[in-house]
Amino acid sequence: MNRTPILVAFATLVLSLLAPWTGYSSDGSVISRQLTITIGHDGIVRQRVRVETRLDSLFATQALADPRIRFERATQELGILKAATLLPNGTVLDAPSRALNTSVPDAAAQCPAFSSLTEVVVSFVAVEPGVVTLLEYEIVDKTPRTGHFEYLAELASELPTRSATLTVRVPGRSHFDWLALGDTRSLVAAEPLLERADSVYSWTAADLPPLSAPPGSPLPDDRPRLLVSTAESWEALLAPLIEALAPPPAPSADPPPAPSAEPPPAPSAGASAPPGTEGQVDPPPADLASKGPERPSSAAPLDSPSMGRLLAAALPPESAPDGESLRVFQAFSRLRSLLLLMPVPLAADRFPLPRPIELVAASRQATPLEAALLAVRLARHFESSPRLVLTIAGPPPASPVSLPGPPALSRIDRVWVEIPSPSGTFFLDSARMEMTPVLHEAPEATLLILEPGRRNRMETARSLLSGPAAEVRFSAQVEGTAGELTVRFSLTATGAASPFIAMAEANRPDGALGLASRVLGPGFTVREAAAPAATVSSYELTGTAALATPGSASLPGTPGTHLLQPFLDPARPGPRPLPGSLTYQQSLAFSLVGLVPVLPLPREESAGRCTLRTAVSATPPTLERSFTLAPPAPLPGRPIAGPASTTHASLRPPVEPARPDSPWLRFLDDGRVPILFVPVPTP
Amino acid sequence: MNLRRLTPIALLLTCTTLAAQTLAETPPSSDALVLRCVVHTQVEESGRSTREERTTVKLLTPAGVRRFSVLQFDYDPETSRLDVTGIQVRHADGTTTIVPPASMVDVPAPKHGIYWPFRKRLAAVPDLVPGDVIEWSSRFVGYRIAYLDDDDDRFVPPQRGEYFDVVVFGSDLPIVEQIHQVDMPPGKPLYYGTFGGPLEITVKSDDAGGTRYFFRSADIPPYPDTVAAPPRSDVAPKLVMATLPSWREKSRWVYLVNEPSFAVTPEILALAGRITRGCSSDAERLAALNRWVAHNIRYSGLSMGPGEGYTIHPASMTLADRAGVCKDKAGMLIALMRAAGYTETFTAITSAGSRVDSIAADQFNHAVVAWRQPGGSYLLLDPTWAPLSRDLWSKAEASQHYLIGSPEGETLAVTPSSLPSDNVLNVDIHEEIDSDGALDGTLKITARGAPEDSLRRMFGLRPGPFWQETAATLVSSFSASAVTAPLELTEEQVLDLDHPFELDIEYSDKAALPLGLDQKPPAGPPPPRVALRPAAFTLFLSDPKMADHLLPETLAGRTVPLATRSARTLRFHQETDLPGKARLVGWTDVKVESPLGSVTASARIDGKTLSVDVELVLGSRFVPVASLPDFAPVHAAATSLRSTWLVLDFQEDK
Repeated sequence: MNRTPILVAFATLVLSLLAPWTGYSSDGSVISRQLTITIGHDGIVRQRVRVETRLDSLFATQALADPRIRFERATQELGILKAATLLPNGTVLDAPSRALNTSVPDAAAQCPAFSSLTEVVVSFVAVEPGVVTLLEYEIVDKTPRTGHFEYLAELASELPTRSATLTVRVPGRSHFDWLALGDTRSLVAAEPLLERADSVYSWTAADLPPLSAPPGSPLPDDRPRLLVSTAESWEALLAPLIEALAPPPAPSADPPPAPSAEPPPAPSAGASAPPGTEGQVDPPPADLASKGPERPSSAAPLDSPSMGRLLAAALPPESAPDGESLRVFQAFSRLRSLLLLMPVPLAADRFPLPRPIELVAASRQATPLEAALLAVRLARHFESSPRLVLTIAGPPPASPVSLPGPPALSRIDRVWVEIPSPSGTFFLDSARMEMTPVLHEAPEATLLILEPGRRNRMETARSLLSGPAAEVRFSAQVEGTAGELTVRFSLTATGAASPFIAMAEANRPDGALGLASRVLGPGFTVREAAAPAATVSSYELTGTAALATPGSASLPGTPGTHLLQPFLDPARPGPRPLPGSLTYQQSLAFSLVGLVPVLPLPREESAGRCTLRTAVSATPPTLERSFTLAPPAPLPGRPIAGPASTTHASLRPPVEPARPDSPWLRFLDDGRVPILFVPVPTP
Repeated sequence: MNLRRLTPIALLLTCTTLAAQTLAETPPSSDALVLRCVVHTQVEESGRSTREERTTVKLLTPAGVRRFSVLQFDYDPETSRLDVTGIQVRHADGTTTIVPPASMVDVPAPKHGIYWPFRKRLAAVPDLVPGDVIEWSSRFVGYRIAYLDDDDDRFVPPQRGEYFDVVVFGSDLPIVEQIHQVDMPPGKPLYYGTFGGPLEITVKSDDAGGTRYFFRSADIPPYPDTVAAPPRSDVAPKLVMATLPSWREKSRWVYLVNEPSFAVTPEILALAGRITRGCSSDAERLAALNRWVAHNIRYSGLSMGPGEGYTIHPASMTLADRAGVCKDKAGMLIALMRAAGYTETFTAITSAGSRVDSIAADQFNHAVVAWRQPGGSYLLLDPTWAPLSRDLWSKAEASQHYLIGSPEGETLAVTPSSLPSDNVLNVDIHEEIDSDGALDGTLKITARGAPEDSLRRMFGLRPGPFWQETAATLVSSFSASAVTAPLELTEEQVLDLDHPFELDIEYSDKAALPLGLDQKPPAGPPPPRVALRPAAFTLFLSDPKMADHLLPETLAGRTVPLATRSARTLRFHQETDLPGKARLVGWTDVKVESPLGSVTASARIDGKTLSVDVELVLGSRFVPVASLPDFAPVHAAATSLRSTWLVLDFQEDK
């Protein structure tokens, strides 16, 4: 460890502590965070980081005194230049060598393919409230980088940040661009400088608030970040991915069978996408552009033995002919179970492109991009023509032919696989390998569509991000006496609310009895139930059930709400964005002898994009209830000043604040209230 | 303190094809089936042991494939040597895949809180599919944690000549056959015991005069993870072995090996004086010292090299680091107490949350402090569990085994039980609903014992900007649409351990649910009845720290004990001022009692005031399986309370 005197540095630090600052937190603050990246003319990248943090509270001293430095030890070297604690009395204590310990990220410890990722835990000593920790280190590439360089700098932390500085030095002729993401109101870009043969870019930010989510929570989307990249074009960046996406050539000795008479359902945003919504991001590779549409064959070879074994393992056991279409969903469910998923980014400068797909298939360890490619292979087995849909972070495109901001793999926010199937088109979120009937993205999301054999195209929240997103309708006629109630019900769930995929995964797509029991809750005996027609995005259930002890049981307040629950999480940050609206409608009619229902009182509320309405009548008793949540309005990007680029804006819409008085929260409360039954009051 | 043991080891190359074929025909209820797990341990005179393992697993599902696609072998390079001697896969088509040893990677182990230099070997097993049978073997020489200087001694246990082991016969997967064999050198007796279920046992002498101990079990059912359950080692059959004849020897060794760490330096002496200045009693001094260590020595384990793991860091080192794990925090407190005049203070080792069985094998995972009081009895203190606690000894550490390391040698003891009256949560709720349906409410929460610790830590261990959110989360547990008023809570209040913690939360709802009285119907009278679920029926009753007895949805069919943080009493009193006169319809007070607890819930309306009282007494931290039927009615009544609604009839008000 470098033990050079740091009196001057700390004197400056102490002085800075005395300066008044309105962003003071009782937990402490990041006094300064400095990152300097130098891309050498030899291709070697040096990252130098210096962070000074004041820890003031019990939380801060217990939870923030063991920071981690992540790097990849196979290709990089880490040098700790300074790790020291400045005590309130001015004493400076260096962390001893035993306070620097090596670890690996939890996820990497499960995946040997990524186990070169390393974390050095720096445990500061003598930490007590009021200390300032100083950490300075350098990560240097062992060998020159051959491809582009990109870095996604996190500017905020658990504590407020007084000052953050990022400097990037690149060879003068290098292509370079940057993008500010999240809430970067305080970010200021300096005029690039030319120093010798280098271009030097720098940014500063001051008084950044702490992360808006508590420690241990997923990082909030509104956190400020700065992305820099030397990639010149999306085409070059994604070429390996496009290549991996290409269907494997059919062996000449075993030609694929002739295409079936009926082609698979056209993707919802296929060749006839609405005018103005499609465009070529960059010229596609010549070989791909010249191929034109191509339909893979189910008899396409299963590639290598590894791929063959993986896909064979994913295929569920043979089932009855009428269950054949369900095997698609079961297969993807099994594929999810087979894979160890590795989250990305791996580190601030590590956004890996897919490895050779055969290697991935053999190892069962996959990043989201790799998992998506495996899903594409599996979809082809079912004669489906899948497409990759990449959600690209950053501002919406100004024109359909270009994405503003730098090309960068770290801008791939999510990787979807759009899979047409006989039961309807569905989407696979490859980061979790979860299937859903709709693409869950904000309406202004920028989508980059990669389709084998076609030009890769860019769309902006049109065909894939429109239409009714989730809708549940429940109606019932409740009849009976104090001895028994009979409920004739109908449940319709469409869009994202459709339970079809989940039921197909569980091999019970016609599990009407089970779904009815879940919808009506305990106490009911479902006498009959049927789901005559079901698709990925539409499910209708009808049936009859009995309640034997109406005096001690109840009807759930809003039956079927659990199908909307994924979009109505009462926890932060409010309803999950859906591309379309969310609707719940309920209609109950009662015909009772000796019993009366205890119904909610009438209510009508509207706020923001929520509307809640409850109407009741006493004679005969009826209840009509509806709740709608309109889709979030697209939010325009917010340009910030900066000479290097004029296209910098928020990545995603700001998190919708969880308004405690929003009707959607009241809707949740309403849903908790059951319909109780009490005897007719005696006069 | 013995941290977790290594993956079991196997020895025999035995044909398991027949078993595999038979079991393969059964539908998979588990992701995989352990066909055979065989461990052969050879113990030397020095106590050094060599363990060889061979395990054979049949993969039944895709999830089983994922689980075994990467085999992980933990070890500590400072004290042990690990050789993975073979990994092979037998496929259903009869072919075999050998995983070359060169393909393994050796990486640092993931570390959180304890940063000792553990490592692990990862072996990617490619191309697995359901139906494959995977078999691996390994050889492990050494000890888990012991840092000795001489290279030849690296693998010798720190208590030279002694050997111990704890073997659980069971896992979350079913096991067809598990064998554990131990060869002891001549003249070295092995004391062993089996717990939790019978094992086949064979003991015989070998030709060299040693003794071979052979333990076997077959058709072992899976022991899946179960909510609010003891660790698997307390549920499944377990073999405990040691060469030490009694706990007294272990106690004396713990004392001797750690005694040098408690040296009182001038700095420690001065610090103890500063901490105890103004204290006028033992209780005040001990509380001050315990709290200082709890809050000023953060839990962060740095390795000190030789001796790490089983010896306590010198207190001077811990003080300089201001960091350590449980043993180091205990050592710091012992030194401070000795400096303050409490010279008869020693370390004690416990097994937090687990049972310690009677064989003198190291079954401990935690270190604390024991002060021999003038009368000879011991007082326990735990600075690791004391952050934001007013107790010297956490009420969540009741009824657990401990062993004090003293010069005379002690025997295994059990910490005192904590009673429901020691751990009390009191919640007073007052609500007022006006004629427009607007609700104003207050929560006043007080607690003592384990619930007080939990309540205080909800705030003290979170960043200040999220305290408001914590309060709002509590309110949202009974009303999602209520607005929580700005919380008036300071860090000083949270850190004030001299007084009970009190939390006051105000909330409001402009149109309280579910009454909806703000919206009069356009015509006709309002429906005469409304359903109301009092906050007293829901608040904290689904909280895993406040009411972990209620975490299982039901106790019906439960085959493992209920294990919780502590016995406790939860009391709720709610008064809701209604906008009109009403009466309760169909309500019957709840009163369920059993030897292990009780539930009472009453509701009444007096004029316009709805009063609700709930008392939940959870009488025991542990409920053994045999007692579950006794506790089940209490559990059922308490859990059903969470979904109980009151029906209010406002007819009288018309």
